[in-house]
Amino acid sequence: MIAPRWRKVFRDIAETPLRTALAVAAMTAGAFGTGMILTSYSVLSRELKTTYSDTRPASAILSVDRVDDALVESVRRVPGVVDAEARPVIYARLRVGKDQWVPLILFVVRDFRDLRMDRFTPDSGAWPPKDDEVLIERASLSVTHASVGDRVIVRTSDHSEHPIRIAGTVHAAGLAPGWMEHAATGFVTLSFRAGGAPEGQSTARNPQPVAGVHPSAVAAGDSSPRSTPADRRGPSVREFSGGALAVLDPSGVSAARDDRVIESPQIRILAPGDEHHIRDVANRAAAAIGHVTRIDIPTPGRHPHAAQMDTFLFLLGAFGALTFALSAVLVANMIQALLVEQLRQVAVMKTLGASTRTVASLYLGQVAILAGAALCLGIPPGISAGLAYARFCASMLNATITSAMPPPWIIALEIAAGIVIPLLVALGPVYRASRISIHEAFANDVGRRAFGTRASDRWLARMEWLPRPLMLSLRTTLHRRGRLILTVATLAAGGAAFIAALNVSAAWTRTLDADALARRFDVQAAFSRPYRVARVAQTLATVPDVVHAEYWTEAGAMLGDARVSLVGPDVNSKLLALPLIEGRWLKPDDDGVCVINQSLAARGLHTGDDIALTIDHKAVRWRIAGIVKELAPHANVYASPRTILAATGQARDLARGVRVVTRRHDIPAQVAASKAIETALDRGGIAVGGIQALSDARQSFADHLVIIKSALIFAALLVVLVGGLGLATTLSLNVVERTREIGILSAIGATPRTIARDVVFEGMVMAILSWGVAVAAAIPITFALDAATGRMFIRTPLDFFLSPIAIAAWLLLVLILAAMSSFFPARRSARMAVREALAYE
Amino acid sequence: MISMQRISKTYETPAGSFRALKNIDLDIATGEFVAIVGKSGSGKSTLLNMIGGIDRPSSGALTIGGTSIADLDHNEIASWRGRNIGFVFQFFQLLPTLTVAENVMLPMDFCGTMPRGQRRARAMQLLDRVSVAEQADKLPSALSGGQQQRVAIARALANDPPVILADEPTGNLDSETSVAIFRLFSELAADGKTLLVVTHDPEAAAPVSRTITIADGCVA
Repeated sequence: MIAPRWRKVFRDIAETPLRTALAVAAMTAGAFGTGMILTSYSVLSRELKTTYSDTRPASAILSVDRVDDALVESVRRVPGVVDAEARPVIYARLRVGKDQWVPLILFVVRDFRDLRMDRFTPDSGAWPPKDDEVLIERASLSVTHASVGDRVIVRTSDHSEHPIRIAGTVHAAGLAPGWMEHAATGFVTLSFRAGGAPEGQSTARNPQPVAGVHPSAVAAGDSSPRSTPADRRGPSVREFSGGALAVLDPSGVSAARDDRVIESPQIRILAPGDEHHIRDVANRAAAAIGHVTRIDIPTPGRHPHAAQMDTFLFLLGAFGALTFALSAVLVANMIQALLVEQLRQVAVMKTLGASTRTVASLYLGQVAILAGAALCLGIPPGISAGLAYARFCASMLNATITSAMPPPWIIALEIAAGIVIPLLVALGPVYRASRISIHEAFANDVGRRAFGTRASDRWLARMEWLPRPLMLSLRTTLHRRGRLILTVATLAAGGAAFIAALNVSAAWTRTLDADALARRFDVQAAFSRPYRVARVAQTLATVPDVVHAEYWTEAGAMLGDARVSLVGPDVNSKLLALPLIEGRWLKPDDDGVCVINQSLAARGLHTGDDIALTIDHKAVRWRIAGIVKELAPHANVYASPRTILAATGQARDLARGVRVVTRRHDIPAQVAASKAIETALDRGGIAVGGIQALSDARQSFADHLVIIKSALIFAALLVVLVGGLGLATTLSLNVVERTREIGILSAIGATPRTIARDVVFEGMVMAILSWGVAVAAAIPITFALDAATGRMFIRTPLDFFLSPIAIAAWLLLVLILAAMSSFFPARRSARMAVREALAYE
Repeated sequence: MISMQRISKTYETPAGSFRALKNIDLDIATGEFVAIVGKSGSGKSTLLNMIGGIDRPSSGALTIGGTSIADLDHNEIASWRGRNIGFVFQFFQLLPTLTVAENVMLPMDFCGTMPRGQRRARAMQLLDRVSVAEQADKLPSALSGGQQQRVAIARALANDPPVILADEPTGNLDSETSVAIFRLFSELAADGKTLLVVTHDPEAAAPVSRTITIADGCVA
């Protein structure tokens, strides 16, 4: 038989369905939000790591002059090398429309059935492909504007065009999603021939991706930020199972040369261990090979889009913690109100012999029952929603969720938190109520000072300019300070999170726009090899859209183990105006001086420091004159053309790319111009390695932010939901507590409409108060999020921006929330029978 | 049974200190049926609260059944009160979500004075004593005022306390019911209970053995 005290607990719960529902709803919102965020966090962290590690990512990628089976075998015998595989890369372009091409990176696979590293799996269609077929990475199929089974035209960097059939799709989780990179990736067989010189001849050309394209349409699989698009020089020979290339004249470009660029020979090695160990092994392998032009070492275990993931998971975690905290505050608020209603019964129980502990146990027990109900209601949908969100995010990042269950400890944590936190939160109010003296409890004025005892009360009393009923409502609202503060704080926290989320989202957009504005050109093209500036200029002169063109000096270098890009804008160029973080920009007479970007500065470099670079195996030291901010996670070093040419020995009149200003600057004009420019260059015999309108580059970066922005908006809405519940709870409780007062008002002539209006007015007052607090609180939150997300993704804080749209949107939203939250309490108050209301205790 | 020596009680209010009781000396023997009368605000209920341990005196000594109340802490006094004092309130103060029988069983539940299996039987016995046994399984809201007060008296007797305190027990009842309630109190006094009743109703309080008048915090 259940003891009477516990029957009271159960019946108290059933007796007040509205309050019970609100309390459970608040706890459920917290359990749901926390469950969803913890689930998506844990599943994504695990699955991304697993998906990536299942591909057996290469520990290091060695770019060589030539590669053959014997070489690969010799590398396998190097101590520390667990496995090695050759996987040459063909940089090509794929036609997606009339005169419209997109970058296409083709990996040549020796044996589809024996993928030793950087593995990929069949997704649809045929496996393996035939010699004239390609398997497209599934996340880049949309970039091809084609479907499985279609024949597409591929142009390799020797300018030959080849029809090739898309035989199927594969899933290569180790690659960045093609739709984000705006580049397609495919896999072809060993016997795939993209033109090519007759056997016996070899040529090599290091295809030159468009410098500055975000973040990589280059060596897919080069996931390290140190693997930047870079100019590669020097002889490069391809001999691969019968294929052949021509040797490039190492001193420069010869006009009478065989331009057949086929591929970038690479050997990938597997050497488990930390980065230091991998570098040692890679160096040993390079020494064994003897002709390695470049070594790329991806950060071990780090997905290509790990920075994005880190930012997104951080936001999820931060907002999850906020939701949880707000939910706890909400629960505290409700328990406080519940206990105020129950004080008289507490007093009665104590007169009947109940101890403080007994009384406390009853109310804590009630909280535990409600918390248990909230867990049952909130956790299963929270887990489901978390999984759905994890799947969405995984699809964005081209990963697969193989195991949908969150780790058992996460579920245990959610359950424990769902029970323990409400109990902990309730402990204070329950303890205070249980310890209250019977006399105080019967006097029924606990915690409530009579109106008029505070200076603020007397100020409120002078507020005679409002209609009296509204004035009464306002005084009542402002007099209950504790509850007002809790409610306003909860709603304000939700609002601050909402505003901050929109601020950060807008800051990203502004950062994108500012970066685009800093680059005052419309189209950027990279050539497959250097050409004489005069020849290119002559060709571009035939394009009416072209107003101005500049041919910057560009090269690659090493800074310690990291690859950096050297960029030399024209001396008086107006095409680049990157914002300065420190120091100054380049001057026309600068020599041995450079400006670095924030990615490089993150290594602890400052203005005035010397930077030691290795360029073509020669050491140079330049003085850092300034640091700029740009949307490029990789490291750029800007220097005068004279400085770069002196260090590299490049010929002055050669161009590896061009930046073009077009007649019009809108997106369609840029796209049309890039097509026209490519067509002209093509007709002029200039092999284009890549061409991109600036708007497309911007869009590519924006696509990388989709997942971050979705996290911001979703998390903010969750916080708003909890805040709204808080307001609804408070308004309901206020109406209950004012029952007798409402009865008196009705008895002296107030209409139901007037009473309902007063309740709505009370809600609006709280909403507006909370809006003011939210705007103020959003400022530091925005700063913190700008700093955290900016540093994670682009290694510099975002510029602070307070969005007027966010502030206005929150005001509108909170007023709507107040109206909705007031509806039922207002209706309830209006329907109260006067006699009942007056008799209410 | 009850001994009060120089009991004073002062309350701090926003308007300043208020002395509700001033040096009260009072002795009440076992089995006495005492009425405490006086104007509103004279200190009657305060006096009752002191005796019941609901409130603590600011100064003075209070002994009930040999126990000095001042020596008991917060939890001890609750336990002591449950076993030694039965309270009857003006507004009945029955817990609204418990049935009549459950309300009567509640003090037994808190103090553990009766084996669990015997509590219902005891509650029925007490309800029968106060003539409301047939209402045992109803909620208080289904009962009249007089019936609710009878239930409250049964609840006050649940742990068989030696002292019954009633604060204006007939304040919400009609005259006929008030007389009946006082008759019930007389029976309890005859059974050896010590009863103190604060009342404004001299007619209904006729059966009392002694009347104490409180005026301005003092025994008149």
